[in-house]
Amino acid sequence: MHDTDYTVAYDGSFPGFLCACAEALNAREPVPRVVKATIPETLFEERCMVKRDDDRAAALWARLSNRAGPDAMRTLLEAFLSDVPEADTTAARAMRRVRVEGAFALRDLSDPVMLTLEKAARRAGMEAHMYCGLVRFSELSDGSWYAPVEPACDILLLIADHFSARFSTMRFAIHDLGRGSAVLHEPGSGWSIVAAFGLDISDGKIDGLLSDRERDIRRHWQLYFDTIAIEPRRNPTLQSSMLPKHFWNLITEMEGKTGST
Amino acid sequence: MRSGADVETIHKLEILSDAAKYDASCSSSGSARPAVPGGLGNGAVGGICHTWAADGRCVSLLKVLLSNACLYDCAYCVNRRSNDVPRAGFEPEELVRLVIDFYKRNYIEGLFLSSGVTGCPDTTMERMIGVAKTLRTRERWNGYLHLKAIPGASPELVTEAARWADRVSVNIELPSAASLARVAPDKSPAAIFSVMRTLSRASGFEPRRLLSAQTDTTQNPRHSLPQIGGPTVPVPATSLAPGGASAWPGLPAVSFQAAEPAPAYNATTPPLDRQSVHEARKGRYRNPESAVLPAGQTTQLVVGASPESDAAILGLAENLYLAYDVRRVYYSAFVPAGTDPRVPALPGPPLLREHRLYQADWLFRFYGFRADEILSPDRPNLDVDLDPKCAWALRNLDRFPVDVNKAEYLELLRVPGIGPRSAVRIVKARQRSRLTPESLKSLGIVMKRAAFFINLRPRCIAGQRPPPAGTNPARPGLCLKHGMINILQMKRIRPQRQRDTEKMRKQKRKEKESDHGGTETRSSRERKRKRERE
Ligand code: SF4
Repeated sequence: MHDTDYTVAYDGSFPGFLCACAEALNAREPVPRVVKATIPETLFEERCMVKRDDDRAAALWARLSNRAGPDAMRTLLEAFLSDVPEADTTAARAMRRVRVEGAFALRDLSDPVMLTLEKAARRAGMEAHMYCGLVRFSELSDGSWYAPVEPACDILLLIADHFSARFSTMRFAIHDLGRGSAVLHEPGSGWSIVAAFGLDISDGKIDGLLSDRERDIRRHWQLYFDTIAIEPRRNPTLQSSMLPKHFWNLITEMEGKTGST
Repeated sequence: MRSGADVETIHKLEILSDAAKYDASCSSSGSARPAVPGGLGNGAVGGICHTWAADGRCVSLLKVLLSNACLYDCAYCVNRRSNDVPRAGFEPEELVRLVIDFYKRNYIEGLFLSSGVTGCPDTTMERMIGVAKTLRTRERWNGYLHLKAIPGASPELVTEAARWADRVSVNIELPSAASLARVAPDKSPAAIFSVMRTLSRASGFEPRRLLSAQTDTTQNPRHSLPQIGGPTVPVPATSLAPGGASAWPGLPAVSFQAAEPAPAYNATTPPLDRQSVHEARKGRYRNPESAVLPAGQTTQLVVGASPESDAAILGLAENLYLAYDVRRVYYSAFVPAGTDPRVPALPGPPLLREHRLYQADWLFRFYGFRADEILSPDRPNLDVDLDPKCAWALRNLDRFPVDVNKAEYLELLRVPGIGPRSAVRIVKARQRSRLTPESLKSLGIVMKRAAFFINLRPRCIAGQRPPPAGTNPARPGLCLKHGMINILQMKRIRPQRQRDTEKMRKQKRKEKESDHGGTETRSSRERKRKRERE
């Protein structure tokens, strides 16, 4: 005989997820699982859909931050953003313990939930760090900057602060081609994330929008990149283990090199 | 249309980055320089790699020379005055524009600027400082700036460079005074080490003077500056003291007593009389008032251009970490450039040796090892087939097996197969429940190696017997004799593997193809492969 599988579903957004978590945290035993609404319902599942409510999400976030501190919250966020299957469900389960025990709960790696959480968070964190180096901006003719990325994890939220601090005077967009979302930054007014972003181009190529100097600078950079390698030390295996080939598509200096998969 | 100026810049960029690429320093870490309103850029304290070149080295900074014309004649260097190469020099403005253009596109984390010696060391320094100043003040740029100091530059200019930069460094290059005199006759130890002392102070650390090694009784301990001298003929490697005590007359050498106080050790480890680099760095005090150089200094040693042993190189490196607060020592495999008789004609850069030295260096910085634990006068060179940690473990079998449920962090780190990340995970995970082989595996421990050196049930340590024939030798808690045999087997296999990876991969691909239409059986394929390998 199967027990009924109680679940709480949310719309896929982070605030929506927090609302679902709030629901699950308050629920009585058996603790419902938190799942994305896009996941099909199973036969033995009893699902309740939670509406996104930003105030409620913010309240839970603040409460947990007070209890566990910013580092723990970042771990939870990173795990949520990772592309590890059911990372959201895991993060919600971890939250139950975090609410009671604080950040200390995350240190308990003998608990499989915490171990999975740490690995998921690490994955997203590492990718975000990687992209801090791999984002390539192109200057458009209107003086703004555009960078396409294709990360496995949903890292925009994790890198937005870094780029806004560093390029505070630049108007820029970092565009996640796979998810369609983008970080938009305006000098003086900070950054925001839009769910669906598109450049105003008809033929799908951004070449027409680039500034005059852009192509020259790219050529300078490619030349530098090719020159800096020491020929007797050439080691393509090492290169692609440090920089796996799936990153190569959108990196200026790899243009025309046999890396596309 | 490309303008003439553009073509010229491209030409210069090619020459001047080609001339700078042999400096191994790549890091952009150590500085949290904040962004300023209306300015461009900031520092990322952990450093960020931006790409990896075809040789697999990380590219983080735009690494160029201001000029590759040089008055000096260092035999290992492509830019030496006796080498016939095209020369060029950036106009400061040109370089500043290049840096800003690259930085805004997020190609780079910052600039690494060095230069050949033009005029005298001081004028060269002044020109480099000029570029730094323009970047910081006019462009309000706060990216990472690594400046190279010229040996012999005045302390005032070196301090001035430190004011604008995140890191300033000077390369020692040759691991002994004798080699320096022979290979780089224009540079003197005094010129190099006085700059290092100034840099050490600029990062808030009063340079120490380590006592000389016991073998080195002729030294006058009050001399803190190195003196030039010693034989100018190549010194056979074996005659060099392991710590380089005789390699650098009067210079800090690996010693049995450091100037830094010896910590108290618990009884489980053998008494050590000197701090490890790891400990010294952890508790290091840097005076915030005199510290203007956030990321401190680094240096580089060329490997293979002179006859010093690995022990001499590592001894010197350890000393530099302890006495001068060097943040990193880079080891650069000598790439033969031209036919200068003062340096050996190598078939290629000694990459494996360089790799082993880096591994040993990691053992200093993150694992709490001391140089004399890794190498000694009777074992002056690192093992080619075994990594230094594994080699140490096999020499010190009496310290194993380690009980993962009880051992301290540093003890765990000494187990082959356990690195800093897994050691932290072990410490975290065992707080709540006892560790089992399965839980260790899920924590990311390389059980293939670690299994022979750890014990999960301490009661089994005493009276351990080899397992009956036929049991799985990869079982944790197994007797060390078997572990050792296994590792020694790995030792034989590994170099072969390195050579053959490429070949085997190709073969596998071919096999896969032939799997679809081929008639070979698996065992016949294996036999064939074996034959080929032999
Ligand atoms: S001083 Fe020596 S190492 Fe430096 S550029 Fe000149 S020749 Fe090369």
